[in-house]
Amino acid sequence: MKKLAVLLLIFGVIIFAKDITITAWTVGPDNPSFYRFDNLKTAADRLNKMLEAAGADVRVKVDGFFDTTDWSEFKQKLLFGFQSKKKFDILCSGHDDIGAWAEAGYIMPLDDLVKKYWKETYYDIIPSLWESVKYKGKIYGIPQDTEARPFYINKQVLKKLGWSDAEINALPEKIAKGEFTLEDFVKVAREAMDKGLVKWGLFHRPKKGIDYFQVFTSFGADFYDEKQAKFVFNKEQMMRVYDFFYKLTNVWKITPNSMIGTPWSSIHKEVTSGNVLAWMGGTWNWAEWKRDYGKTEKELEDMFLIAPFPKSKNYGRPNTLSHPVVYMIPAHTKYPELAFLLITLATAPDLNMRHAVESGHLPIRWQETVLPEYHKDFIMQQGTKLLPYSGFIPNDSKFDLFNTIIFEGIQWAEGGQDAKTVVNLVAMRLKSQLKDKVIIVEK
Amino acid sequence: MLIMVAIFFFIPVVLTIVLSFTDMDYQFQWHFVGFSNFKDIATDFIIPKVTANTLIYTFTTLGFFNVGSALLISLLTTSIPDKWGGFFRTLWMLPRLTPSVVYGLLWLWIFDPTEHGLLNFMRMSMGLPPQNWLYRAPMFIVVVANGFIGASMGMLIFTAAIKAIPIDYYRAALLDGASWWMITRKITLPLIKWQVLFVTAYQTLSLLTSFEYILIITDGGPVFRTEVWSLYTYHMAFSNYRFGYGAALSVVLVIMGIIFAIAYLKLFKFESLMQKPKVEVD
Repeated sequence: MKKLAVLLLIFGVIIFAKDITITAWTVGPDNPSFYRFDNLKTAADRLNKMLEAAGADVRVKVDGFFDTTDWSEFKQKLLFGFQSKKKFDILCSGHDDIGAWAEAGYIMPLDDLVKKYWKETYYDIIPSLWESVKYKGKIYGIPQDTEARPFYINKQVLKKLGWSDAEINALPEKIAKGEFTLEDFVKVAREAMDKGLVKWGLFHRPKKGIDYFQVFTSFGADFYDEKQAKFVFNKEQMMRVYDFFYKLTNVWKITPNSMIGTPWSSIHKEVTSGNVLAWMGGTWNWAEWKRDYGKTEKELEDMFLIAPFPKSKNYGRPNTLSHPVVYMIPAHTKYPELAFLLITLATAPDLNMRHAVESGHLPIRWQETVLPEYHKDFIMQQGTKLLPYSGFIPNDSKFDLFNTIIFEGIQWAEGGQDAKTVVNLVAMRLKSQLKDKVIIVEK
Repeated sequence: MLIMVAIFFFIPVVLTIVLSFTDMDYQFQWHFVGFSNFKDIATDFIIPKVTANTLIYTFTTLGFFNVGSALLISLLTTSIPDKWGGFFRTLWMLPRLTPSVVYGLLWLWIFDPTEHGLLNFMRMSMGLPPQNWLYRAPMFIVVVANGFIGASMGMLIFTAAIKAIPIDYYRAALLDGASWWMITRKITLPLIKWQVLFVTAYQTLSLLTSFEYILIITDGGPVFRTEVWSLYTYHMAFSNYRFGYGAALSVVLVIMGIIFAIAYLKLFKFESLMQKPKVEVD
């Protein structure tokens, strides 16, 4: 009779074991960041082992997707997903989306859940990252990774220009101290082009994005007033910025005037073929170049110096920008606790480290910095050195619109419109679109 | 049928009009703001550029391809043996059979500004430097890319219309010693006027609202040089999430479409076209 009862129990567990599916919508868009999705699946495997050991009759399955198309397409998908209450329980996106989505009530605050797992996991997150996931004082996201945006300089070209090894190796330090400025770089770039060593001096991203904000910092241009939670457009400061973009393509001609709109693949081919002196990129490019452009670790280390983006001669500071990708939980999910538990398990040092190594991102936990992989990985160490120069963009619900208009100005400037005209056009456009959400500083 | 019209036409139109009086953004809230969006359109200094682009794009594509080339191909391919005519018409149908994204990316690859693009690769093999095609002539490229696809629809309609003209008219003209040009001008074109009106009006409205190839090839750039009205509407609604403003732009576009349609009806003397045909078809 006893045996029968045990058998029935086991049979019952097998028959009635409940499968809960957690759907995760994740994004690269760079291919090597696939662990943003796969780590959640591994977390579910680990959780299922625990559930099995405990004899629980529940199993967790992760489905969903890893999007490699484009940020804007992914965000559109999410926005309509929120609105139509599509079934997804975890999402990952840039930290800068938190402002808009929290304001709209699309994502849930996570403070209580973070507190719940603080001692097990979250005490160990690098503290500055928490700032990037807060909106109006509440935590809405769990950092998944971070990165730096290095200024990649082709040192083989510097060598051909007659620079000694000592001068080359000292350059990142000189940039970091502000002793080598953007103006100095332009001279070197022009010289390299005139001598036929490279086709172009400087490449930057070909689409809207946040990388350009590094140039603002280099020229000391403010763009956000934290106290008033308003954007700032200081005409005098922005004149310097737009003048820089104007001169890049129209005066110095170290950047092609078709830079904006050039396909990403062509840019990476040119940069990794040694046809460009410097690239305003990100640490993740390192992983892309190895995975998608056939470069070896040694070839890349032999080719590039990694430095902060230089300051201008009279303004600003050397800098880089971090854009942590974060996990969030939609407010409409049926399983907020379970989704959060999976995120917590996916934040394990070994899992987060394998993502960092594979995708060229930087660790988010102190414990990762003692793992052997960290000490073996060149870009991770070099990227981490840049973090003291790093900043974040604001978590403001209107950031994307502000960014769009600022980017239109960059297109005008590179297209040949003088800085004064561009500044006036951008100011008018900001005022008409953002209305009282932007402060235009005339002088 | 009426229910279908209501669901797929009437309700969306009403919703768009109502939406145009709101400031709906990514939060999808119906905040009514009166005519504020229309005032914004009136003071948006990008609008004159967008309007000019729209007119250039629409009428250049229409004139050179969707009606012009379509008519020319139809006239030429119906003047040669049917086997060859059919072959050439099939060739023109090929772009239409290619998926939009693949077709757009193909053009991007052809005009890639680096040495990795097809045209620049060919130039460089001849010792010439690469060119920034998409910067130098972006409107030309989007017109050609759209035109290659757009010509096929007019071609099919015109060919069918020409083939429906009784052969006796041509035989009589040939017996009278009329040249190909004379036959085309005096017999073919007048008898397919109705189809020309239809294709012109239909394609004008279609071009006014089409932007998918522009989105893929230039995304409206460089610096708004190929930003047409429908693409600007898309950017406002789906990139900047200003759905209210986007809806207002759509309403203006619909009004523009109606004005063009009325103008065509007047220009082609629609009423006389609707009279009993002078040609007996059977």
